[in-house]
Amino acid sequence: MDLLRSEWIKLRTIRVTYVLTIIAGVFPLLIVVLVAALADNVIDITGSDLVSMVTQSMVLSALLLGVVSTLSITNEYGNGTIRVSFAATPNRRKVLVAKGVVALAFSMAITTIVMLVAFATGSTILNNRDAILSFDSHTNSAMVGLVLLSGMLCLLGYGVGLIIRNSAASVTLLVLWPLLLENLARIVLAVAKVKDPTVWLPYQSALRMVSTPEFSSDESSGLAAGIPLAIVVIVLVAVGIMINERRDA
Amino acid sequence: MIEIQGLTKRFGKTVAVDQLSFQVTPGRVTGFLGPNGSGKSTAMRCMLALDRPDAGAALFDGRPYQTIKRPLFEIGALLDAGYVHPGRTARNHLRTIASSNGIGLKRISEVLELVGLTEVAKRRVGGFSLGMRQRLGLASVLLGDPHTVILDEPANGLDPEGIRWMRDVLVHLASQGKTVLVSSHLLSEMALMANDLVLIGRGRLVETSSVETFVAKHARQWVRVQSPNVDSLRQPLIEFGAAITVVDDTTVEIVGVGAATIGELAARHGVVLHELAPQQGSLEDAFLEVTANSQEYRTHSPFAPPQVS
Ligand SMILES: Nc1ncnc2c1ncn2[C@@H]1O[C@H](COP(=O)(O)OP(=O)(O)OP(=O)(O)O)[C@@H](O)[C@H]1O
Ligand SMILES: [Mg+2]
Repeated sequence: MDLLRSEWIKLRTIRVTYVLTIIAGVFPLLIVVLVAALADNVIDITGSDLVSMVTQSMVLSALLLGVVSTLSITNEYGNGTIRVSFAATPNRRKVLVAKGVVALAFSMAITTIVMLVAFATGSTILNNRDAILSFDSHTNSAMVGLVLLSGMLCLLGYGVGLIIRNSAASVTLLVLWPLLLENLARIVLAVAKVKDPTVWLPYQSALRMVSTPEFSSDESSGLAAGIPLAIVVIVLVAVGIMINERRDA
Repeated sequence: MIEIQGLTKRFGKTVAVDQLSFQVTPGRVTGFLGPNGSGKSTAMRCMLALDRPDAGAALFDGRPYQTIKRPLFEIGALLDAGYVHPGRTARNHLRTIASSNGIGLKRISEVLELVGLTEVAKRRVGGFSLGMRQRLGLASVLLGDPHTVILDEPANGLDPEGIRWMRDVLVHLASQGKTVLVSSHLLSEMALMANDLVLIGRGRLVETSSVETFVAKHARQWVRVQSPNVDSLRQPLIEFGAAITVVDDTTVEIVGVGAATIGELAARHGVVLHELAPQQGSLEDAFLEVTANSQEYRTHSPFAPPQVS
């Protein structure tokens, strides 16, 4: 409990947490408000459209929150405060698990709040413009999927940070992973004529969690699509913690 | 009580700490001395289980650091005053540390008061001078009122008044029966505050003893004699095997013969003495003497300090 409190104080007493969180919150809200207020034929907009707009635009927010969790560990190595932390609590595993739990809870909570606010704002505007919105289990699943994706990206960032320790390199890798690495891998897999390439691309696969059926004709959408990424991040964090227990701080 | 037993730490081919063994006793300030790169900081990191040693152990009242659940209440350590997040305020910096051991806000205010940082408690540490950071570091050491404190060059960056203050704090802690291990380059400072010395060179123990024993053993000792007819003493002193250095017409410095003997010789030869004063070199002299004599030091290190001849 004390460790969780300590990690929470660490997270909320640095400026970068606020900056990134504000961007992560404002960006999707802005998109939703603009689209809902300015879209032409409101009658055609469905509940599913609104949810996808929120969840898709919030993938970036989830990534930014992942950067927050990366920095929560790499900053400690950069400033040397990790030595202060480990001297105060020699059981490193406890410290690192507490840090991961706090980052995870923070990411998922912020994502949930922003998502609900964006959704409520969007539907209020659209309702006022006489749109008829209806929701089904697919839209619910996309919203849950977004919160899960945000948790996974948070742990992805944390795991990368634990292993690399350097802020710039870790953030670069975290951002490049989805954008570049998996697209490269997709090309390689295509050349190799692998049948279902997305299974081997955990991030791309996980993105299906946040889409509503109209956006993906794919059969394998739904929360199960997140399993590969979940496995990757759990392994990454576990390896990261193990390495840090052995290495010099 | 701290016991270091055969501590060894390598970084690749560099042996930073080599089979180091010594003890630090409670109620005394123990100075941890050694030239740059001799392994003081590395040894301290190993003691706190931050660096993983290749061999050996450091025991605090018989227990390794890793087994201590809430170390802030037992061992306070300041390794580097720069270990802060520049964007945090002084108070928040202390909160991150204190909260991990269940220490509350009241104690944070107390230690801030103790080190004189109350007025800047809400300022970001990034704007602090090195001296202010050292004070903040000392505040973090005092959080749990530990019985053992370990400080790596705490006087670094402090002004003369700050150095004096730090010295008083450490001497006070030792007087309360606490175990105090402090590394420093400032030998004159050490002479004023340390009771015991641990001297290392190239990661190895060179010598460990009390400061008085150390200085008595290694520093030059001589007797200063002033007399209107000092020349009459010259012959008898030489017969006693003394080496004489002339300072001026009436003053000489004598090595090799004690003050008592000189006094008796003067009386026997009817020489009036205006001054008969035993003198001793400083801890710094003794330190340079020993490090210059440390064989491995002279032959292997390209960064050995200037030799004294
Ligand atoms: N993390 C590290 N990686 C590689 N070598 C290291 C590391 N830390 C220390 N060393 C090396 O170990 C040796 C001892 O360094 P250390 O910092 O412990 O000495 P020191 O006595 O504290 O020196 P100073 O008086 O300058 O603070 C040096 O040769 C240093 O280069
Ligand atoms: Mg050092």
